[in-house]
Amino acid sequence: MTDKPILPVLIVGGGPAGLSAAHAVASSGRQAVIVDKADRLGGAPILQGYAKLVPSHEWAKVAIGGMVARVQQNPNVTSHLNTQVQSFDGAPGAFTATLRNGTVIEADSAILASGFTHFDSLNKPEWGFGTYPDVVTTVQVEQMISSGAGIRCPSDGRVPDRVAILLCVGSRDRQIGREWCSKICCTVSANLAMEIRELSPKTNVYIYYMDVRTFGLLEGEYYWKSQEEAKVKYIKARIAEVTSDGKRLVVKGEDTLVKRPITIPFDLVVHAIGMDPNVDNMTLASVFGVSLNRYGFIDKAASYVTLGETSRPGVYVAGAATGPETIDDSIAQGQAAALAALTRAGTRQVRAAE
Amino acid sequence: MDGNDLKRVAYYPGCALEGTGHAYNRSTKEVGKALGLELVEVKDWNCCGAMEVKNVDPQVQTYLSARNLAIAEDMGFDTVMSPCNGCYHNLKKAEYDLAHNPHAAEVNDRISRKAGHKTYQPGGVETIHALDWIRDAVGEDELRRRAMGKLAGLKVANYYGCMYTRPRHIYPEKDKGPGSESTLNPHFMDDILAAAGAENVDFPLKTACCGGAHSLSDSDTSTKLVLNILTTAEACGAEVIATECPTCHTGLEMHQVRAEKVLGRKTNVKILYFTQLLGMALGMSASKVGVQENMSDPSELLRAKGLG
Amino acid sequence: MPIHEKSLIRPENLQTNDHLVIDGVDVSGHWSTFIKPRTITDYNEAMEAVIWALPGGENIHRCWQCGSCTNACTVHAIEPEFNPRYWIYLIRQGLEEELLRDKDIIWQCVSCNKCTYACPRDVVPEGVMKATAHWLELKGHTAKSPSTHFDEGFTESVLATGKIEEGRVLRSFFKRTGQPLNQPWLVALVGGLIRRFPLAFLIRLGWGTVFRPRTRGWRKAGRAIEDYVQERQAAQRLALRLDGKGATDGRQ
Ligand SMILES: Cc1cc2nc3c(=O)[nH]c(=O)nc-3n(C[C@H](O)[C@H](O)[C@H](O)COP(=O)(O)OP(=O)(O)OC[C@H]3O[C@@H](n4cnc5c(N)ncnc54)[C@H](O)[C@@H]3O)c2cc1C
Ligand code: SF4
Ligand code: SF4
Ligand code: SF4
Repeated sequence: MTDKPILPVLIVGGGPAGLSAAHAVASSGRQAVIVDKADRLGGAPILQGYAKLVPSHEWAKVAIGGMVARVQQNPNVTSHLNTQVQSFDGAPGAFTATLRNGTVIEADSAILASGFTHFDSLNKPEWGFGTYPDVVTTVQVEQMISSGAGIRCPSDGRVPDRVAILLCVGSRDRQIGREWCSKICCTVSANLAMEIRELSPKTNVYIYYMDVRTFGLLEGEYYWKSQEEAKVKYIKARIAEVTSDGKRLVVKGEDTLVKRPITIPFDLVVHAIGMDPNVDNMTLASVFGVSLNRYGFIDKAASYVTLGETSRPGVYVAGAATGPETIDDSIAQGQAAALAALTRAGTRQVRAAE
Repeated sequence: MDGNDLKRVAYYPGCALEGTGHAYNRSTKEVGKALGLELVEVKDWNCCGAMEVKNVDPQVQTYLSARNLAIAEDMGFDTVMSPCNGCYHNLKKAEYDLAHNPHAAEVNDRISRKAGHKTYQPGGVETIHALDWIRDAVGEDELRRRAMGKLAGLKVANYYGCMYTRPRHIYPEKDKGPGSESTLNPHFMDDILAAAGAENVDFPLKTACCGGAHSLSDSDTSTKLVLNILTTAEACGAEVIATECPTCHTGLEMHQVRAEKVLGRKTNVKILYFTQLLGMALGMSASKVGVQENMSDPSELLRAKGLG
Repeated sequence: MPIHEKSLIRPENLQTNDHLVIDGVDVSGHWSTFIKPRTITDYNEAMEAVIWALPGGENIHRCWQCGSCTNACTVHAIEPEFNPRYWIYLIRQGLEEELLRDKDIIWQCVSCNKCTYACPRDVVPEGVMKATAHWLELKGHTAKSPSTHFDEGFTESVLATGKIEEGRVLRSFFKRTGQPLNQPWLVALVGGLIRRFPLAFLIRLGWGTVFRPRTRGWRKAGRAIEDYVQERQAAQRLALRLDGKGATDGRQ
């Protein structure tokens, strides 16, 4: 074997998954190169300005910001921002990636950590987003909280007396071809509901649900706590439409437990938007020669004995690129994909002396 | 519709346009002629099954439309235009079912063979509504130029009914952003009439149901539903409800009378096909667009607006 | 137990004894009002499969009870007891008796497909309503609804000629349902038309009566459809294990 240095691991996307993969690769002594189309690292939590994260209760700026700083300070990590991979050729051990800005990167392997795209509520016009200014998304509420502006109705800046959070907007809906649960929005909604109640105790928060999926340990911390301590109300109804009576928003539906129609006035209606496949996935699939699953996410080998493998040898995937994932899981998958890349069959192990 | 020649399309009028919807048939043809568009009737077409046959058997309903589509394709057309929401909906639904439901495709093939004609394969022809046709073949600018604001001052509530937008999945071309039709808040008729100068009122019941399926079999329900549409249109300030479907149109007219006779609730809003309004905007006489065939008599209003 | 909310109790479940003595205490009359328990004691496990086998009911098993259909429903808005979501639940659990309480309104679905538009699972509740109404008739729980009469008259006309003529369908409908044609509103309607547009209207009406519109070359297609429909209906009857009882006339 020659002693040519092993090429770096290319990581597409610098969100939680990509950051954790980069850190793992760099910690092992190898080189990691991050390519992100945004102007900053951090992924959705930073780019969208999330507030306090589930389940850590840490501010996104602090928690994910910490991950960003750790990677930026590591000499083994290089980042290329504001650009994307234009072409990707070669074989495991000797890939060549050309970026849109002309940079050429030789890579041993690649990890796709390209994440998701937020569901665009305009695709469910019956729920009033785009028509009424006081219909907003969970992302906007996160921003209201993280910016310190507090909970206010965009139309006139008043503090709402009553907030409705509609779950599963853009998830679990065959009408719009989204046959998946976005996993995190129930918990995020319960969390936001508690934050709203804390910021404005006079504001009542109602969550309209079909199922409440605060899985695992999130049950007690979010679902129960929101009911028991924050007095958030849960109503089993998927609402039909959001309209306006000229003054307030009107939420119409059937309260399925009492078998009665409801038309309830609200000041603010929040869509708990889901996680769509990254809009770039078609492009990524063709550039990297990987296949997508039937939902449009990047196909991950479903096997207990592989780590984040895609349909192409030497190209791995992690995080929300594979389907709706939490930050914790995205981080774990980033580490797994890094391990897979580092131990790829045929790779020389980095000698201890190096 | 991209690339299809819309100036000359196959025309599928359907049964209602030969009966109660005759005025719609007539005004559609007249408007087409005036705008330099050509309609070629589908040869030996059959009934689409309306809302009825599917309740006896849905696959038969699919076949009924498939036969018409097969003929249109055989005649060398890539586009078939239907002004009736029911026909339009059924042609679209057949298209969808044949592509997505193997059982429907199989039954279609079986009946088609027995009937002795080619089996229609999805994708053969594209079905469009009269609204698509006029809007896309002529364009709003041209309409504006031709109508010269003739409908100015006429307050119109545009009523699209159920089948033009529902269910959404049979209309894959709708809800595609700017320029496309919206299933929740359709606007093609609004656009066309606005181009002709009309003042469209903000009408929340554009896609409400008139109970057409039970117009006769459950008249009380239909009367209630229609009355709600009529009174809402009036409350919104409309003088005319513009329609684009013979079933809706007849339903509104019939139950306007019935609401008055049975419930004692009189409404004055007039009901006209959009093609009648457009025809008059293009300078046609009221009788040329068949206004005398309407049940509610709009002559007074038309006179006041200098139309027809 | 004192009854606080009588309206919540179904009248047939209230039981009063004119003469009753319990432990030596005379509790005759309203003192002895009992409420019969409404415990569900069994499921009709075959019920969902039956609706599933009928046209329109194919996707009933997908329902997750979100209520979108009911809250979008046109008929629900004017008749709160009209509740597709609830009926789908009853059918899926096999709570037949409960369903039968609403048997006389299920056919009233106006096929507006607002439910289909809203349903996140693509159950097509509109189809389920049709299948259920159909099932009620096949089982003899309800007489043929006016709507079924209309569908059948209409379909017969299409099968026979390839087209329909509205006057004929209308007359056939009024005849099948035993309604007079001289209802005041109909008279007013037709009268108004004749007054304003006498000749052409009468000609058209008369024309359709004498020369029934028909599709050229329809005969073979009509026959092929008929064969198919007969086969389907035989299969459905088999699936429903119908023994000839029930309002099945004209559907063989
Ligand atoms: C409203 C909301 C709140 C949430 N709150 C929480 C929470 O509190 N706790 C929690 O665990 N999870 C939460 N989530 C989920 C969380 O956002 C995801 O788990 C996490 O962002 C996934 O990380 P990721 O790195 O896989 O993808 P992302 O965060 O999406 O990062 C992907 C990165 O890839 C880049 N990229 C994308 N495409 C390309 C391309 N073609 N070329 C180059 N770069 C590209 C992007 O710019 C981005 O930086 C929330 C989600 C939503 C919608
Ligand atoms: S996590 Fe909750 S809100 Fe999000 S899609 Fe799943 S069930 Fe719906
Ligand atoms: S189709 Fe029938 S069940 Fe569905 S919304 Fe309309 S009336 Fe209701
Ligand atoms: S909308 Fe669909 S899933 Fe929801 S209750 Fe109705 S039928 Fe069931």
